[in-house]
Amino acid sequence: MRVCLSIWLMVLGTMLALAAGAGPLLATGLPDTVETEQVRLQLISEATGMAPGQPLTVGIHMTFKEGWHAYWMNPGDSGMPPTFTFTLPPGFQAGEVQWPFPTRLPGAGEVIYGYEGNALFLCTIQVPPSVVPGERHSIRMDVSGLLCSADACLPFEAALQLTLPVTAEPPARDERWQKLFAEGRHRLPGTPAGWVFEATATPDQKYRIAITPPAGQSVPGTVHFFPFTSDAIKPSAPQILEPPAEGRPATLIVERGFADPGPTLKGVLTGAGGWGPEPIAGWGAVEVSIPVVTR
Amino acid sequence: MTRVHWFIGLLALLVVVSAVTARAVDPDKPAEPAPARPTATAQPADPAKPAVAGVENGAKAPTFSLPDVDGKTHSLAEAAGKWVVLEWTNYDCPFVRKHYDSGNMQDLQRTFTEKGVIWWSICSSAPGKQGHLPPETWKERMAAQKVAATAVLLDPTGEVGRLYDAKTTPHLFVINPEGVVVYQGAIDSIRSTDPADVAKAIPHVRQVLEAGLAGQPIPEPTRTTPYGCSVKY
Repeated sequence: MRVCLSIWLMVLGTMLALAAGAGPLLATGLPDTVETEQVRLQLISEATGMAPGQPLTVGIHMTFKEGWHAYWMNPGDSGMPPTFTFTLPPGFQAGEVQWPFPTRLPGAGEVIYGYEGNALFLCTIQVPPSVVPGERHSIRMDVSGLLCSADACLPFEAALQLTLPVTAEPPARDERWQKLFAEGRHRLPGTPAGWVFEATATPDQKYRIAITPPAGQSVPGTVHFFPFTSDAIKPSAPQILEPPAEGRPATLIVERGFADPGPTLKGVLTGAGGWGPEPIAGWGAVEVSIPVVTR
Repeated sequence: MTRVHWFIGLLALLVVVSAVTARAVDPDKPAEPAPARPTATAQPADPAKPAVAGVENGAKAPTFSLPDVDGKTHSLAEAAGKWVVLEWTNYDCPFVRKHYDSGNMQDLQRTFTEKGVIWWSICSSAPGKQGHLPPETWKERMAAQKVAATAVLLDPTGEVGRLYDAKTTPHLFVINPEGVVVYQGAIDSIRSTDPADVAKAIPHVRQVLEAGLAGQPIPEPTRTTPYGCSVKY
């Protein structure tokens, strides 16, 4: 009985695998949404169509089920970032995927950098001028990665596809996703105009990151540094923000990882209250490339 | 409700009851023996939450003893004079699967245990969490994937895992015959779950053991960021 069932499952599995393998050939029939017990993945477009020669912003929206998380490009102490692969019609070009800044998720004896709740990864696709109004074109994204809870880690992978019409006029916004795109942009690290960051690698295995705001502004109340590379700092060590004192700017003290300090420390600085003023007011994070002096 | 409904309901109930009873008396699944208490040199202050210690290269590896899947106790002290590899594992973690499904882990285990290296796979998954298996299942899965480690040691309290600050599965430590930690970190250089990457990666642990056994200096890097699932403490 059990053997029979196993054989049937194998046959069914083979058929499903064949169907999945045939996907790229057929280039149709792929869903825009895949949902598992751990995550819901949806490919969305900011506009209802595409115009010749114009950029088109799409996003992969991940909604994590309670208790599950995915990882930032530097996953921290464990885990693995997702990978995104676009398959586009001839002449279309995908830009870099823009990653939302992560949150620090402490686990048992370790800290990972990732996402809980939901995350939107944005990407701008350049539509070639050669497309003709009335045509329809498909954007395919293959996404894979790792999802973990406190109890388990599971791989995930999905092939998602969106088909949009070419319009002569600039296409209308897709009202369903405006809020998501607005929130998604809010979670991208900004560019810190006028701020000065300087790091000193000290003999006690720390980085002291001096943060000088532009005139009239102040350093956010809580600041956390997330490096782009995995062994630059110790993810599980607390980071301490020393308020500015006489002759010294606010300083974030971060415990170094075992990688030797390089000339620059690259990553994202998050800060409650943002790195204002306009045009980046409210941005919760800035992308930084901090010169390092070793002492 | 019709008679047919009642009949189906009764049948379903019977199936459930028989499944539960079968589970309770299943001779293939003996009750899990209480795990022997691991003993470690660094005693945590709060036994409910063992301290995270961590080890440094060049320092003496903290001693411990743990039971294997047959209940036999293995102690680091008894391995004195031999090269020792500690491999944190969780057979259901996708990163661990990469190295067992490709045969890479078994190949490393076989290659070096044949040269006298003690290779211990250690599982620190807590009961109920991924990777925690009953001893019989351990034995079945070890046989099925032709594991060639000296032994698989069970650390369900996570005490030894925290003593070494094992962060991921896999996470590897290499200890020389003097009992000194000479390498800790990733098995190789490519953080992925794709078995095809094994052949492309720099095999850190293999290089360390080959150099060590040949009496040569341990090649850099001797410390790398381990990659894998978090240890399911």
